[in-house]
Amino acid sequence: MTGEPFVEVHRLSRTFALPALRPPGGGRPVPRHLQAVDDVSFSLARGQALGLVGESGCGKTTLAHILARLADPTAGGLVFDGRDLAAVPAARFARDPARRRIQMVFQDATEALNPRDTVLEAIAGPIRLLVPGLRGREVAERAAATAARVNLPPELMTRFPHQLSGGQRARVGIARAIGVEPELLILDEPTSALDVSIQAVVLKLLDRLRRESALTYVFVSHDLNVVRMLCDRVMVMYLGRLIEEGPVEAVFRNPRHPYTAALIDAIPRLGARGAARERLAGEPRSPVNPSPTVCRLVGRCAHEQARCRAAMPPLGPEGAGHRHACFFPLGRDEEPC
Amino acid sequence: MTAAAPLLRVRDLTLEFVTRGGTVRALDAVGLAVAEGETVGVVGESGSGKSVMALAVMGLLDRAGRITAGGVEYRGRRIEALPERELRRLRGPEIAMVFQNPRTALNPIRPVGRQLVDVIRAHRALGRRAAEAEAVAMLRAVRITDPEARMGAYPFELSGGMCQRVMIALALACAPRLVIADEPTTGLDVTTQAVIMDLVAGLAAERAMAALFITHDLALAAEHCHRIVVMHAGQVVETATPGRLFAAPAHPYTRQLARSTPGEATTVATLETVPGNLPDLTDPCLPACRYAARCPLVAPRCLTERPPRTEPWPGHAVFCWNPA
Ligand SMILES: Nc1ncnc2c1ncn2[C@@H]1O[C@H](COP(=O)(O)OP(=O)(O)O)[C@@H](O)[C@H]1O
Ligand SMILES: Nc1ncnc2c1ncn2[C@@H]1O[C@H](COP(=O)(O)OP(=O)(O)O)[C@@H](O)[C@H]1O
Ligand SMILES: [Mg+2]
Ligand SMILES: [Mg+2]
Repeated sequence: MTGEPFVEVHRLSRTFALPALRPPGGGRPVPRHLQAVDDVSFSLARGQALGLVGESGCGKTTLAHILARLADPTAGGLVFDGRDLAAVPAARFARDPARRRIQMVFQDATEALNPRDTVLEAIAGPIRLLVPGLRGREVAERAAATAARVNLPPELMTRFPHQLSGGQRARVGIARAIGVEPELLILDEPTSALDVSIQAVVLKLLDRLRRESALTYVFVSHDLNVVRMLCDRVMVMYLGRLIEEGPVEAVFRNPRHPYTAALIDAIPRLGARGAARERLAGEPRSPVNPSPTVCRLVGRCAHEQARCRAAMPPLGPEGAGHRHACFFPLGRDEEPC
Repeated sequence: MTAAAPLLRVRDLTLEFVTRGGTVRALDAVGLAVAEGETVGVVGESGSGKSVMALAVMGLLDRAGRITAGGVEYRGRRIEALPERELRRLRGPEIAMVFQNPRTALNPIRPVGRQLVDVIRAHRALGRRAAEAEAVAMLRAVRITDPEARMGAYPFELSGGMCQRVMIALALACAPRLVIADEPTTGLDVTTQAVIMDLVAGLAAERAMAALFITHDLALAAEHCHRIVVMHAGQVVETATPGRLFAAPAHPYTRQLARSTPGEATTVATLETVPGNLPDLTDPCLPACRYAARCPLVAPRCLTERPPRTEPWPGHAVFCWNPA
């Protein structure tokens, strides 16, 4: 990578305070916090597509909301195109000029749409709000043009969300986000509610839009094959920590962290009945008051040793294209590039 | 499969729902068989009739549902002819069901251990103590850590994966001959899904239990089933072993479905889409083959004449006028 990164995230964390717990034997209540995102650092070049994967509850949506500046981090920095945005509270960011440049496509298109807005209104809303100096006619024209870009036929423009199919609703959600011509698009599981047949259409659409407009994507997904197909890089999270990050092919072919390997192993494959696989044992550790000196995978990892219970493995090697956070990594070291 | 009569046989099952919006022709001459100890997968897009078929097998159809032809036989007895009392005796000890959303299927205000004990005692003559010991053993069998402590937990205190395992323990508590699992892992993480599928497959093999496994995930069915039945809009279009089905799919829908599922080597360029949508099942003039409007190989008689059943390979059947 050369030049300034487009997005630079530095030691970002987000905790949620939970009600204090009184110990069973009496005594002082113990304060508790849930560590949703824990000390995450990465950078993203303009035009790249970054996949974000990990099991549910690992912090993907929380991180996505912070990147979209819909939520505030509790610590850490976020630099967007040379400007520190972590300093702007989410509430104030709604009126910031950069709001237009960073948009989000939400996981559940149905929930994100107002049931009383027509398709045209739903797409026109963000344009009217965020693109200054457009007249009513121009807003409507731009909304119609955006609908056409996502292949929504004109006869749907007067319909309400409940009159649309799942695939059509997903396209309205995407149109709302791209109508203001953003530069960074954050997509939170945009196809998880869709059938494969409809998912394929939406994935092709997302890929085309990115190429047409040189968009930068952060693509949250539970489907690793989809990430492999659509993204340049992938980040794997586990219980709030970033545990592996790198070019998709490097990570998929040569996973270094045992959790990444188990995740890839668990993908069902056509025509691979009964293949013996590496499975994760047991349940994940609690995200509440996690120990800062224990690897989060302890208790589920087949490769753990005493060192894993004495210190948190850092993400490294520093500056490498493919980084992992494991003291005893799998696979082989790669040539520096 | 052996030549012996199958455990479960669905024969030409045709079923409709009479609603205010019209008559939904949910199933059209659906046929399938499950042998003792066999795991059969049913795949298809949502709305293809998978759940309706499962409910018909359990005798749990909605009042608006009416079987207009064909039926379901379990060990030679016709399910739809059985009185509710008899059906209740089948559900649990003979046929158990695992639903998609365990939180709605579990009683939210009763500890999971008590629910297990209730089910065990309803079906077996065991004292409270013995039933409790059995319940703990079941929780251990589905790999819940510290099962004694979890006996007292309420469903909301457990993760989604743990609830699903409790649901499986409940279904298996009476050692059924057949378990029907309707999207049992949908919404769970791939890692949790893998563990649960291994578990069900392991228990099925250990107890020679048969399973009807319903999913929209082709690859998941391919990995865990002996045989797969592909449904589209209430019709069975193809059935074969996973190996056959994906090496040599004979129905255009199966081919399209496989090519629209992203695999390790899929690129945006090679990813295909299934054109069109499922037909409106309230349409009184549905074509004879309900895939006709979406099919690249459609011919005039696909609209008017029921596609014939052909066998491109022993045990591989396809319903199509233009099979590959
Ligand atoms: N508003 C909130 N209050 C408390 N905990 C929360 C809140 N939002 C998310 N969490 C917790 O933060 C963790 C990460 O959640 P999330 O970002 O939604 O994960 P993912 O999107 O990967 O499933 C989870 O343990 C979740 O329960
Ligand atoms: N109780 C009902 N009343 C009317 N229509 C129903 C009912 N249950 C299911 N259907 C219809 O039957 C068809 C098949 O549904 P279903 O079996 O749930 O599909 P799948 O499980 O494959 O997603 C759908 O068109 C659905 O709308
Ligand atoms: Mg999420
Ligand atoms: Mg269903």
